[in-house]
Amino acid sequence: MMLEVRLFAGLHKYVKGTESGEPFEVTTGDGITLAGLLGQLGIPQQEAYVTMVNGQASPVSTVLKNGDRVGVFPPVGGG
Amino acid sequence: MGEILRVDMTTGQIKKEAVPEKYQGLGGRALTSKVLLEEVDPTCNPLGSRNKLVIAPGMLSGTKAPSSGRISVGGKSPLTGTIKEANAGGTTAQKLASLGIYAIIIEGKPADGKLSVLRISEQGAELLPGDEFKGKGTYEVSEKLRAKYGSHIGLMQIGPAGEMLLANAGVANNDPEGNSSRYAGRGGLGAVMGSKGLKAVVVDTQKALDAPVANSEAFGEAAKKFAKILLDHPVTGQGLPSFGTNVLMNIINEAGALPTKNFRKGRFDQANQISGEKLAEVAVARGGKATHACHHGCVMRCSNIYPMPNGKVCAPIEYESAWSLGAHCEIGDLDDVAMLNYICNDVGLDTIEAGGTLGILMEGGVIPWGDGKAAIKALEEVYTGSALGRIIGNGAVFAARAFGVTRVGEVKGQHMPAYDPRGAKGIGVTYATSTMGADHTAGYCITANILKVGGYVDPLKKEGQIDLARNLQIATAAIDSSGLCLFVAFAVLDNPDGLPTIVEMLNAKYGASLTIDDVLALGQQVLRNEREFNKRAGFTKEADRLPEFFLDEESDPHKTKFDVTNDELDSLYNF
Repeated sequence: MMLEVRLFAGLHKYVKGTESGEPFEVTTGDGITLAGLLGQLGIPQQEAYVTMVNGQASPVSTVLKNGDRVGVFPPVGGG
Repeated sequence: MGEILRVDMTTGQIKKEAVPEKYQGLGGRALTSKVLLEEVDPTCNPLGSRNKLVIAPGMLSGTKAPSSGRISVGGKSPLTGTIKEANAGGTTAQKLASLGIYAIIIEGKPADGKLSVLRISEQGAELLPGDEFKGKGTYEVSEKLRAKYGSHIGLMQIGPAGEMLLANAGVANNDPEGNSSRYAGRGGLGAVMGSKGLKAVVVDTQKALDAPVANSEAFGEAAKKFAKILLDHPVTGQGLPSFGTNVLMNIINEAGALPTKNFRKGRFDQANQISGEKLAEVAVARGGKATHACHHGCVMRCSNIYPMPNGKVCAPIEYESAWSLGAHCEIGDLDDVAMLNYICNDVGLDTIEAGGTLGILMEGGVIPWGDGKAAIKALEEVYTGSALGRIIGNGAVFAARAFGVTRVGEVKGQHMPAYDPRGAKGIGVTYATSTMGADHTAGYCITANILKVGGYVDPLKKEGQIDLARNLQIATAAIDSSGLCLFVAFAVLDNPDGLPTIVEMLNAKYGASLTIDDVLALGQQVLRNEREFNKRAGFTKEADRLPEFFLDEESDPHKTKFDVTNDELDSLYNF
């Protein structure tokens, strides 16, 4: 299945050829979890502080569906 | 210990007063709000002689407590008609506290309409003629005053917007490099300062970390422990020092809570182009800085220095400003955003309200959506005092009336900051119920709603939002009084040693024996005082509401409405 992934605030360094915050497509096996996706991309889980699926915070145990929009963030704050 | 400087702008006299019992042990917001409740008629004309401008460094400002250089500026707001405390960084708080000054109370109004500069030094305080600075932007005034007195001065000032008594005029504080960009921005207190004929306050001392401390050994230990707490937390130790506050642009966008095109959408397709990551990349490439401290001793360093193509520098571009001047107006060019931000800093306007107002101009068809150059041209009219310039300078509600716009994201006359209340309902509760009008800092529920700090409360559901907003508003009122930057809350909310260490610092500073409960009680008392002021000014619970369109229209992309009921909102102050 196909996922739309965005990596933010420095995390794009783990996936060669991607740009900060810009979407890229990832092909995975069906039923992959967020943790599985992070593993496939080579992103250490402890650096994925906030993970969002379709704009909602989702734990790494979340099972992903074809076409999901995934955003991965290190710790961020401000205001 | 300490003194209050009372400046009578009617007579030009300055009095040094001992701190009365009722103000002892207070600082920052606790002190400004207490003085206003005690000394100002809440029904007064905000720009008349009966209003007062109160400036107070925080309780820990001027000490070695990390990130403690915050100053509170208070008065009755000409924008909202409520009590107002606007809180800023920069170097002024540390210098005032180092001179033993608890507060400056500026009262009265000069009959001759002349401008003055208040200079405070170790030798005393004096009012000096300021007409030579009339109509000058803050950067020029800063340069001139630093040339005259030295680059060590702390400086607070208003721009032309404040002189023109525009309701969105802010009070600028300098950072250590002299940028007049650390704004006590919200609520129009620059117009209050302008109504007093006060152009600038110069704090002329080399001292910065010399505030009196009762038990310096215990203080040093607690301050060291607190610095470690900040440095150990992922947000305050890594996140903020890497990309600054504008790193929020992408996460709020991803969460679908980034108000775009005057709250029509929750995502901006050019958000990444005006994000903290982009800012850091461009700033560094142009010889600026992705990270920078707004005052000595800040360990979070969330500020930045952004060189613009015209050779000038905007320092910093904060998230809220990049949103209001960017996504809200569908402006996706970071250089245009930087220029708009710079103009606000120079002419003397709050960026959130100014961006909100430019969006209203776009809503009303005065300038096109997304046209950064047209927005710059319109904003520059504030300098000239033209009719359009004055409309812009008076804020979003005023501009909406002028141009027949009914869709305004505001509460109590103050424009909302950078979070859609339907996509992050906790912050919607804060907007509705804050004593200040729509204000994110008053109870920053984005922590638990989106950033996974201090627990997690689903942003799209209403459950838990009232408790979250109540607890954060109480804690914030205490932190705003302490002089600590509110961003310490990211660490304090997650670390059980955080609040006890703040209490240790307060006890060592004052030789007191406060408990955590005492500090929370202080936060509650601040809110009660402010609420009482507003009640006497004529505000009822019916003012604690969001505009109708947030209740009637579904947000994009989450298809949610703001559904916290009025009864639920009215339960916020049940403490």
